[in-house]
Amino acid sequence: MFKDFVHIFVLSCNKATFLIEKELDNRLSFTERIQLKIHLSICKRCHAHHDKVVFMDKAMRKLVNMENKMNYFSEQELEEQKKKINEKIRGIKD
Amino acid sequence: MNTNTLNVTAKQAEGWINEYAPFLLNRAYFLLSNKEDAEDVVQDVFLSVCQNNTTHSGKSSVKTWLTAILHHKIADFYKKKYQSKSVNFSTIFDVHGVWKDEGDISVWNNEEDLIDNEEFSTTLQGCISKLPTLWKVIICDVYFERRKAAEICTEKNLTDSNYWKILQRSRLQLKDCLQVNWFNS
Repeated sequence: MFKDFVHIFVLSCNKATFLIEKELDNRLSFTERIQLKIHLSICKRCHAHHDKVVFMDKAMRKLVNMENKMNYFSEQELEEQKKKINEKIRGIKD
Repeated sequence: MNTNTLNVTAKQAEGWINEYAPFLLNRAYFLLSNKEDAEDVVQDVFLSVCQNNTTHSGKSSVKTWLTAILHHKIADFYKKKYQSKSVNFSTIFDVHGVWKDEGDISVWNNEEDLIDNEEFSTTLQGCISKLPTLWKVIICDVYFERRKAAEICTEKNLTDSNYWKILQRSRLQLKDCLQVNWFNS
């Protein structure tokens, strides 16, 4: 009963998962913070989602260290591209 | 074109191309998932820089500046496509905003260890690369470029609410992708 009341009148799961993103940005209003807290305390599904979002946020912050290892182009392709761009630039400079 | 109007010298441009083109090409590929498109847009970045369509203010590093131009060009191209439709949650929530599928209250284990696990990071990166381009650009802005939400919204012409919706929707997709490709396997 109380659970349904909260979902219908306080916060839906869609809105709760939205507020979780807002929470990460530290942008929740006082009311929203209370609403989210109540929702998460009674909704297991959103509670589980919340924990996963917090984890993904942390993991994504670390990804930047990995980016140097993202090599979609071979050395040769990169050299060719550099040459191509340089030629184009020379084209507009002359 | 009158060469006197060009602040960026050919030599300077060559230096930037040498130093930053590889990074920009890889980032562009990550966002576009297509080599030719990535090559085109990176060429375009350097061309517009040399034609002085944008100037380096000196507030940020050259790499940050060039990356911002790249993101801007890509987002601009895809913006029209996304502006017409709002972020769609109908496959996830019903009309009352309740989860459609019951039951996923599972907990991910060993989360702390995973953060520094390279194999996991690769999976996460793969999951991000499957998101729509505009969402990816925003995620790269937030997590790789560490830019502020307000700045991203202004530049992409997004409301705060739409910005969070994009992150909300992306996160739901990422969660499912990680569930399938990491936690279940």
